Amino acid sequence: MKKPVKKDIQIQALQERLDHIEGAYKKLIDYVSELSASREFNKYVIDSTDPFNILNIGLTHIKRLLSFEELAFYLIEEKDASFYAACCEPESSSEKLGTEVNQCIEDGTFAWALRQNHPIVVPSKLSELKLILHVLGTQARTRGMFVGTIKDENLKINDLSVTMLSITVQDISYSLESVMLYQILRKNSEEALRQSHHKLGKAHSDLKAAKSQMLRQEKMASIGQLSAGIAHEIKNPLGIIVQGIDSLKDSLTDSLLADTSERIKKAALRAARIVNDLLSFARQSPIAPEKMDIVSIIEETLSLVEHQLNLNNIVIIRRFEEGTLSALVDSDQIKQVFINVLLNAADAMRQGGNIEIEAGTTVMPTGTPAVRISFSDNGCGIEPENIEKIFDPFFTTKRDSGGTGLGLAVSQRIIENHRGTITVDSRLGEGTKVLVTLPAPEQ
Amino acid sequence: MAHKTKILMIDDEEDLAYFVRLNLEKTGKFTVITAKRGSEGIKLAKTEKPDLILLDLVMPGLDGGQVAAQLMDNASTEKIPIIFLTALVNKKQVEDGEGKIGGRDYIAKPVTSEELIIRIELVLGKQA
Repeated sequence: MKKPVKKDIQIQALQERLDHIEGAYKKLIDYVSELSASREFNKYVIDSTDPFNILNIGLTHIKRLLSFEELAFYLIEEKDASFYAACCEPESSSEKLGTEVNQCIEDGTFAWALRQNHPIVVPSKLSELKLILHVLGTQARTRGMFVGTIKDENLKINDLSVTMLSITVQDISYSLESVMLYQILRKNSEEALRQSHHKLGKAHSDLKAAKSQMLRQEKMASIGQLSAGIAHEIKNPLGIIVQGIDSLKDSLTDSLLADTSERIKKAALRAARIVNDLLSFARQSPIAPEKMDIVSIIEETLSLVEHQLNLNNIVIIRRFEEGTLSALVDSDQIKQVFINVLLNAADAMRQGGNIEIEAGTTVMPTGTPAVRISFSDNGCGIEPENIEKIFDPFFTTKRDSGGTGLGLAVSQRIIENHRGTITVDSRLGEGTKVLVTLPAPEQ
Repeated sequence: MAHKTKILMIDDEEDLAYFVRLNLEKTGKFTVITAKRGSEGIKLAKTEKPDLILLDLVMPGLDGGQVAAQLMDNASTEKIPIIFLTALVNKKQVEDGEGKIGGRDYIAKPVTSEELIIRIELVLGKQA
């Protein structure tokens, strides 16, 4: 037998080394190709803003790494910490895989896998296949689980592909986390945007209201100047008419003439009343607000108009919050407002009815404390086309019965001078509610 | 014949003064003299010594406030009660407009003769 020469041994050793290098080279080629595939995959997921899209692309990529029979991503439902399949391949297997997952959850495998940062391989309890589990999540948060089934012969635990699987699931985890954070951020900024949009809308409507109030105040001011100027000039001739009629009266024997002269006098006195109302409306008398009990003011007002309300068979229902309701008001002026409102209500209920007066605490839109007083009647109501005009000076539906159309205009002016609000809500045939808010003293 | 109350009415509205005179005099209780200027009114107050003066507030020349001030400054007229007749609307305005007349009675125009007589008698009653 020929003894192997040293040279042969050397060749054999070299051959073995070459084989090894070839194997390593093949592995390296595989590794590089996996890496380049992984880069492509990363490019996809980085651009994606949809978590389900990331998971779907992830599954496709993972399929290339190992010959899975079935594979899926399960996500944790935040509400009840249950798991649901976010995506599964093939889709028809989702039920079967679901059973595997439930089994793993029940026997604690899932909980165990969730705590590992590498793939876990366990035998399936339903088939001959192996299950590969890999937690989906970052150090900060666990989002779910990758689950795949694979034939035993297709799995070599030291295979590079298993390492690549782990790297890929971790990549998916980070992408998923950033997308989810992005979504939370977007949701928050959308909410912030919605809120600032809402604030902007409110500011716009406040501005519109302020503008219309300013226009109204300008209108009032010009009416004020005008009326103060002409009132004096009108009242003197009215005085002459009234005194002139009085001087005629005793010498009038004809009853027709006597009646006529009486009517002229009444008309002159009515004209004088209009001028007086106008002047009191125009008057820029500064208010002298004091801390007053609003219920007492209501009661004093009621005693002033009691007679008129009784004549109309009107019942007053009081609903006052307990305790003292203090407001900062000029009580004489506020009484004038309440009288106007109550007499308007009485006019709306010629056949009798109820006036419900409510009083309680509230806050102004600015947040400062206030007192609210509402007067609700069940009278005839106001026609919708008139409701816009009821605060306009000289607007009246009661001219025949002596209305001057200044009552509510004066009332509104008084309330605005108090930095309060007065609003009217009415339904034709059902009734009217007048709501007044007045500032309360700071506690 | 009973003593009639002598009223001096100072008002630039001649027609008003005319009717007021008719209405007061026909009651038989009053005699009325009239002046359409403040200065003329002051002279008449001094010479005629009326029991009461009805004084318009807003007049050309001396206005009611100035007339009242001069009357109160003079020993022969200072005691004569004055009622302001004004087309301005209320006491507050009267006082704001003319500080000198604060505290004095006033009647807002237009006034019926019934009311005018009641007010005059009230003021004279207070005097008595």
